[in-house]
Amino acid sequence: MKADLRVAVRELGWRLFVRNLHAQYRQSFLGLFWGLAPPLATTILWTYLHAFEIIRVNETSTPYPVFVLSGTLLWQVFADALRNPLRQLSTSAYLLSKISFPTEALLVAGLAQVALDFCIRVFLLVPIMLWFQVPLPITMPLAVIGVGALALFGTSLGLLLTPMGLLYRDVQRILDMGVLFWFFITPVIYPASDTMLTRLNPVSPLLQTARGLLVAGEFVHPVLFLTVLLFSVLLTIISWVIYRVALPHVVERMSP
Amino acid sequence: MNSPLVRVRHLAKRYTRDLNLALRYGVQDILSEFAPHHPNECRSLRPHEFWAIKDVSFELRRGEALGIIGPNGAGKSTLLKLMNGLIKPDAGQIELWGRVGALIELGAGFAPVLTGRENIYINASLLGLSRQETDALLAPIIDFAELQDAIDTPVQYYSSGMRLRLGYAIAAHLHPDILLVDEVLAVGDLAFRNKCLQHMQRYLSHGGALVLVSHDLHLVQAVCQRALLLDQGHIAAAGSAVEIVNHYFAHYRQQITQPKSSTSPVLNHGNPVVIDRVSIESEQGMISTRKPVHITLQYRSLLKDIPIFWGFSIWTGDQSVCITGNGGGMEEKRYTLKQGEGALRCTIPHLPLVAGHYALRAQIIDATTMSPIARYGWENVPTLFTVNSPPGVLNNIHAMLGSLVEIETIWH
Repeated sequence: MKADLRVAVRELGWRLFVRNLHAQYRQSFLGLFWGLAPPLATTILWTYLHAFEIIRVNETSTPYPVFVLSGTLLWQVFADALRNPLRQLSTSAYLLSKISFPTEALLVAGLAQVALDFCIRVFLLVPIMLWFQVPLPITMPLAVIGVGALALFGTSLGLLLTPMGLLYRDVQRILDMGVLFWFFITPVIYPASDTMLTRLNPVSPLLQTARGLLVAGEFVHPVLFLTVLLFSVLLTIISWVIYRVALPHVVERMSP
Repeated sequence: MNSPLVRVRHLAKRYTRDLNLALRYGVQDILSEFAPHHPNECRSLRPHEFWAIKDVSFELRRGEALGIIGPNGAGKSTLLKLMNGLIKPDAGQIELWGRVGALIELGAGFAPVLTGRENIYINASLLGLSRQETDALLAPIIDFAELQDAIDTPVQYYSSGMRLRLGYAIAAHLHPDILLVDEVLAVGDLAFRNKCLQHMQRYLSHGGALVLVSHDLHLVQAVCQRALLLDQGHIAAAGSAVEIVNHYFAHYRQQITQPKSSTSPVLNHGNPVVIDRVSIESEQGMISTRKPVHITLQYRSLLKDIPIFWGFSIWTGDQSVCITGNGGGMEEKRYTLKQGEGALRCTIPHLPLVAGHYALRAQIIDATTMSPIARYGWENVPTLFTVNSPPGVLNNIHAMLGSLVEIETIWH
């Protein structure tokens, strides 16, 4: 049964990922560019605001555009992973009430998309780092751990909200607003300051550690990072159990 | 070989049509799953809930097909969704032995911009097949669906019949032990329906078990040995497919409408003749096809010794179609009206009506002026009667064709 689920999730998840990708790009002219557009736009915007001193942030360890871009694409991993479960399941709602299949495959397909988007964006980051004469750190491949932690934490939280979100649209709204708010209390576009919100924000250590590995070659906040990672693992298990138990009830209410 | 593949016992499922309540109850149900003393069975309804499925039990063995019929909203699809594990029962058990294949909705999961071929892989993996297994089945699936030319066209350009063929072909090649089929063949053309029919029969002869939900009673009768009639969530009748199809027609096909008043008009100079009652009776008690029946018309009259014709007409149960009628007094037999109470009688030696519900109307006509002087069943309620006939293939064919009379035929 467990092996069954694993195979089904892997095969089906891959297939759904490929399907989504095909479906996404078959009716698109710019194709992969859309993976690059959001972080690029954010970086240009904040670099502009910063360069003309419309906003002022403390001195960053790396040139500001590199700082913003690396922060944004890591943040995007968390934000996409957070929204992924509810988005995947609500776009496939019509399937849930008609075909019995391991729905985890939808989550896996969504996460594969998040990973792909990240990989595409890293290709944008590297030339920009070289342009600003930031040496590529040796720890760069280790950033995968940070990215994984961000994705896991996002998924665990997103999965927890999914059963409720499939019943009530309000959850989606709250999530959209929450992500925006969360963006600004996380040191994405500014270096970490020691305010209460930053300290209580579990994404902060994940993002700072991941960014340290990605562009600066340092492992900052190892203890906090591992604590949040462990917490994410636990939360994922709890969320998954709740999700499994709740899903039949949700499906029943979605389709009378 | 003879142990059941499906065992459903005392299944119950409640629903509400109120959206807000449905969501609230959904949250309640989820939370109660985590309550320490969570009851396994819920046998009571909350406000505004009803039983979508109540106390449904049946078994199914290898090679058996069970048809599920019933009016819209009887709980047929809910039953299949429960069996497929898409939703959880509130009470009762479902036990399934073997791999389950379900066709709840054909072509659910087709991605419109992808080609038929790509969709075969996606749909097959949704239904639990690996890539290697699908590779081997690709050619037979395309062949069965008759889509050789269109297989590399995006599915959004398929007609609904083509989608049906592709969806059925995929499900048909998965070789499940238990196949659940919901009303899906409705959009197929005749040739493809026959193909599906043959496939189902072959599948059964190879030891599969089938649950078929359909409004196509011809299909149910052709494929299934046994059937359930669901009505408002409970089993209204269970038995052989032929019996149940017959029962269904007898009880649901012709709903009798009773819009008019049942009182006779008052007898006065404006209404000098009133028909009080028109009855149709059989010596056996039950009115049956091909058996004799007697029609009696009882009247009251202020007029005396008036030559009349009288006649009756038989209508469908909903009173929309006049099937036949006849009038007496125009030929050798003469009738005259008596003052006071009187009765007119006639006999139909071999009633040609097939099983069903019918309405009887009658009138008395003045033979000299040829104008009706009393009518029964137009302004007031006609006499309603039911023709019965024992369940049988011929009677079911009549019912399915919607035929009304049986004609005497000499076969050579």
